[in-house]
Amino acid sequence: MEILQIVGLGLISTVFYIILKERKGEFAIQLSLAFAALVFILMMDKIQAILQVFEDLALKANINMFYLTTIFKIIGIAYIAEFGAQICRDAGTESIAGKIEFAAKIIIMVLAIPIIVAILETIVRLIP
Amino acid sequence: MTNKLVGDTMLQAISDIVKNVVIIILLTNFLDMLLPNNNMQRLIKVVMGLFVLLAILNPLIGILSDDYELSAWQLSTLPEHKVDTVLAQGQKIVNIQQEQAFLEYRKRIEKQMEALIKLIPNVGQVQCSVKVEPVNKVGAIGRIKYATVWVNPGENKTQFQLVKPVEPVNIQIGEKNEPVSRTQEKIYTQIKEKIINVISNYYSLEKENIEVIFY
Repeated sequence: MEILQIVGLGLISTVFYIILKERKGEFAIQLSLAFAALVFILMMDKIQAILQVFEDLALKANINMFYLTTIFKIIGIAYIAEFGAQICRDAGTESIAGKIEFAAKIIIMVLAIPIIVAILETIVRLIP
Repeated sequence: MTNKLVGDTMLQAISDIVKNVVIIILLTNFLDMLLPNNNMQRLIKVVMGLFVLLAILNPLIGILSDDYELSAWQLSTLPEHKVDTVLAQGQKIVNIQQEQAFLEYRKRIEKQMEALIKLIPNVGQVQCSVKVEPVNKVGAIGRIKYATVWVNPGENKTQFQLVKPVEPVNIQIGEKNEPVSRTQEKIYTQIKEKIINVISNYYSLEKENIEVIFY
């Protein structure tokens, strides 16, 4: 029942966060960061298991592992950027959160370039 | 008969494609569930859509034209993957063999160097260590980069020298005698020079890359 542990920890962190935010705002942010890191670490094993299943499926479907890895990387970047942006939003720095999301979008687009090139190449070949 | 065979092959290919498409769609649906709930979801969905398109198009084009190969699709489908593994294993074995040959070459060079240095007078025991760098040339194994020689000065005692040779008697005329340590230093310098010359000439090694240590 890991979910109970996480929810419990989340509720306790929220209570402390509210208390700390009124008295010592800087510690509240640190608490929020620590909780995010903890959840991420706790979920790491499970994420690995999911990725393993996807890799097996992709091998069965003869999918290029390079592209699947790119998709995984993109999802990972989205998650990390979301973590960072949410913490920034909690701290009240909306503009920094926006910049993090902007950087994540650009990185995702860069990672998607090989897929776009492959699609274009296919279309060019299809057209006689 | 031939028509039936072609039909069977075609059917098999289409069935493979359908199977793959089903797996790909399932895979993307699962991946969709993994996506975070933010405004980046839209972007990721576009990329995933492109990926699905590519995964479906590639085998279809493969059927339409046999010689077609997408250069951007540098992929590891299963059979190629297997071939890669076999090739990688072959390369690994070649690497191990080369490494062994390289070690043997180094050992032989060291032995040869020791034998050469033992021919120099006033050299007792010798030990050599050679730094060899690999050479990417057919027939060549390596090139000597640096040589370190440990020398114990003294006479080389072989089985043919059972009788101790008569030590030279130095008679100094005059008041000042050269100190023993200085004489020894002179001998050491001479031995060092000779060793460096021999190795440098024999192996075409630069003199600054030869180190002689007395012990």
